[in-house]
Amino acid sequence: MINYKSGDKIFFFTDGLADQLGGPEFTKYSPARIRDIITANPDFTMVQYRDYFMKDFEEWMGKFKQTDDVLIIGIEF
Amino acid sequence: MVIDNYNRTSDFLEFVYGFYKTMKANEIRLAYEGKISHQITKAFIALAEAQMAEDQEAIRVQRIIFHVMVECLQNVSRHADDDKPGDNVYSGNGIFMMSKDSNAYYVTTGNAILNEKIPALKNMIDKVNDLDSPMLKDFYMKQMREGRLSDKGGAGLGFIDIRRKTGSKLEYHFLPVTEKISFFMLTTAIPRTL
Repeated sequence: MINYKSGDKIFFFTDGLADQLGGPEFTKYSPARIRDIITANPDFTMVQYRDYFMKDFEEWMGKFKQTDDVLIIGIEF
Repeated sequence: MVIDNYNRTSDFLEFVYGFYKTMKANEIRLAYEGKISHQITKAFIALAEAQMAEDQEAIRVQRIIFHVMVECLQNVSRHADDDKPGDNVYSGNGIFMMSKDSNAYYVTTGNAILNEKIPALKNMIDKVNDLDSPMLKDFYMKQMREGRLSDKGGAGLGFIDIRRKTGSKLEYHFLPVTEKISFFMLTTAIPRTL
């Protein structure tokens, strides 16, 4: 049971997002990075989150291949 | 002199042949000793990928092997201590091996570690090995929120992840090197039937 207020946001994502290898040190995209993106941009609309994640993920992956299927779902109440 | 050199060379080449036979017998597909950097990690992933494609390994198994390789290599690059006496600083050196048999792939790493770090590391691995799947999930969430094992990060999340993804227990061994340092070896089996 989750008590939510208007404007609260919930995000779900698959491990394929968090486990993608890449970035400057060839590490995992990581749950921490996902959380930091969300909390650093609390006023984003869902469209802005989508665009941000798509761009950021592509840049992270660079020329390395996508290792798993990737899904993130955001819900704003 | 020439004969000495010849003997040395032939001894060395015999050693190489013995080494080759050992590698073949144990199906050691990758072996490396030295500094582990992200370039090295990337190169190993590419090599492992090519070999597993050749072996027609299932994509799911390949994915888990990459994952375990990266976690284990990062452990060495982030946490390996130097084994020079009196100069026990971070070094990032170690050994890395990938081998296989008919049931599983094995990812094995070894690196020097300060003896004082052993109890915490041992506790963490034992704990991760003892937890069942739902408990591992809870522990992962807890460690992600609040956990820290050292100032270099690492709250055991990598160990938890390996255990969750492979279903295997992490096997480890500490061998004493000096009074300050031990050699820490870690091996994980990735079943080929995952």
